[in-house]
Amino acid sequence: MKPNSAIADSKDIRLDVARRRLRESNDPADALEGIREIVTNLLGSEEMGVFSVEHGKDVLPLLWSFGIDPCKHCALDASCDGVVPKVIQGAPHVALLNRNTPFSLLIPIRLKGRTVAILAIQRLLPQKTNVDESDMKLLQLLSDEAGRALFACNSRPNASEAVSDL
Amino acid sequence: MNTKKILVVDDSKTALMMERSILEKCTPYQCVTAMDGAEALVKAESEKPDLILMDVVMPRMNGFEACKKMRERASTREIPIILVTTRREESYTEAGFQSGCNDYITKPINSTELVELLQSYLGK
Repeated sequence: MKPNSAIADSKDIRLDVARRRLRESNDPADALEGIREIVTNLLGSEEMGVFSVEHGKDVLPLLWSFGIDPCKHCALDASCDGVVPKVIQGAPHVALLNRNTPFSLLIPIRLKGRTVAILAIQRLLPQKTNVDESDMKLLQLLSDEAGRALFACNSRPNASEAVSDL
Repeated sequence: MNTKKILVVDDSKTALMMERSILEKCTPYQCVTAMDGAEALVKAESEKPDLILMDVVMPRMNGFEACKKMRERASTREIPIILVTTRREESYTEAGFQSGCNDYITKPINSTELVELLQSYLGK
């Protein structure tokens, strides 16, 4: 049997797996599938959407979703809620919202120093009762790596055009 | 010593990577993979695994159906099957046990919990 320290270190396995999955993505569709798989299998949620950030605009349109009602969540309002502009700035990379707001987690998807999209996670699975330090590292990795996987492998210049090709 | 072999079945590349990595880094068990229930049936016959760790929601043939078929075949009837799912409602787990699985583990997979569960079937 391998030493128990291997088990203690195994939280790092999630980060390694998530990084590899995103870097192996060949196109935006596969990158979105990778994000969905990471959020479902490694974080613990089956309700999510990606909103396009168009700087200077107060409404962020929904580009892609899984497990949420796309009509109900067709856009994210960045004008009245103080959290969304902060996420766009990338200052707090993850915003934990209260139960009265539609999304539990907002993760800025960064590319070349700018937030190009926001990954919004609505509810965690019932058995996932908290977001710990290890989860925060995973969300930070998504913030840092998902943008390259989604948009850099695509010739389209911005998030909405890239995903509109799907 | 004869190394125990686990067949890991999931249509998600990420889940397969995660489960394979846990097995490689934290256990002495050998790992083979399949990406849906139909492929799992074939691999269960050809690879003769000591245990099957299988997702429920998959294309072509889901985990419940695959589990039921494995229980119908003499060659795979005795292999312990652990189903992996995001859902833990009683009605859902009951459906899994009716299909013939031995155990359940929920996503996101906790590596310590998974290793302990595998050890309980295969030993250290």
